[in-house]
Amino acid sequence: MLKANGWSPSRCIPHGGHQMSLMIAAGLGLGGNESYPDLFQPYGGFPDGVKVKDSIVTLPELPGIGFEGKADLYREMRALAE
Amino acid sequence: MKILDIREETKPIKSDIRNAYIDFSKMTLSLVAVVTDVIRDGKRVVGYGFNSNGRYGQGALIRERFRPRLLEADPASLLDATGENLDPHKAWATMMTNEKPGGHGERSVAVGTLDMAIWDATAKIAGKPLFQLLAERYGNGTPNRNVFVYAAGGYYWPGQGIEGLTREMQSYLDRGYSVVKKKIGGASLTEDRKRIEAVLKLLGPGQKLAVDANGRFDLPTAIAYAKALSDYDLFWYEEAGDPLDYALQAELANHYAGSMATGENLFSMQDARNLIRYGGMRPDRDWLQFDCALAYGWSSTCARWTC
Repeated sequence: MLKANGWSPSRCIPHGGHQMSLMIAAGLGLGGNESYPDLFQPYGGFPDGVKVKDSIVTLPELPGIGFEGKADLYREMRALAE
Repeated sequence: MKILDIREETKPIKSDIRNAYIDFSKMTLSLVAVVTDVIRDGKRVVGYGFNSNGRYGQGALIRERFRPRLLEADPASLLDATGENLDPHKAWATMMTNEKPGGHGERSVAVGTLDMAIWDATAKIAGKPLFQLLAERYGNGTPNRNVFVYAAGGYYWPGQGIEGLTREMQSYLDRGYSVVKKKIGGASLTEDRKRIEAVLKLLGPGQKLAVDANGRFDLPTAIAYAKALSDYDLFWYEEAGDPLDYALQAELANHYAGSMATGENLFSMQDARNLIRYGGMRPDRDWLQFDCALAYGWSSTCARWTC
């Protein structure tokens, strides 16, 4: 829909601060993603060890969306699944 | 392969103690787990999803409509051509069975949450990061793992003062963010100018401030802010008016030469398309903020929005 209307994916910076939109941003070349450094934990944010430098994060190579790389989030998820 | 179970739970959203002044205590989200019969690296593949902040848990919709549709479907009808992995688009179409068009409400949040978990499972079964899978299927095949992020905060809270605001914004800069965002419209325009100027004083070369009205302005107020904000070099002026007031957004473009941003509260392709058609958004400078977790998931957005 966007491309048909003359928009580039690089003009999209999704709301929400979650890893799913980070996946789309990295996979499709979006302009970036929102981040809430102090809010909406443990759901928002990045895998453990990912640092922000000059407003850029480098996503690690984890299977799937990579929730398993964020310990406090994965603890909640595993508790639901097991 | 097949989906063995789908579990969901409504969870609270916690905020950092430094922002405990803001009452997020009643805000919830849905966490879901799509449990498959696939084993990878000795572990059962489970896909996870949750809806992002700003909307609430969708347990009733998930339990009453979307979970049963997935679990009652013929498992083979949810698979790709190999029969060894899920086809998220088929799962999406199954979830949307007997859903009428229009009036999207918050079913888009329930479906978006489940769709996230299905994509997580699909990429895990494929043995790849999801960004790799998406780049191969929908992009140019090569992901860019370096992603721009900006720090959102700057809410109003009692006793905050300019000092509380600048301390928060400085902490984001100290943590490596070069774009920070604060709210506007929770104080008078005069007071908001002081707050904006205080944050701008913190910024160095290459650092920028974005402002967000959270859809609270009527047209005259939105224009008054546009004129005032034109004095500053901002990253963007976000969600000035009601998310569905496309005429307001279009008129605003006549009064603000800088970048506008909006779209986080548009939950369907049709709403997003109306913004593009009627909202006066400019592809050379404005920003779109559609959030797949709230808007029927990537299976909807990929086909019809971003691609």
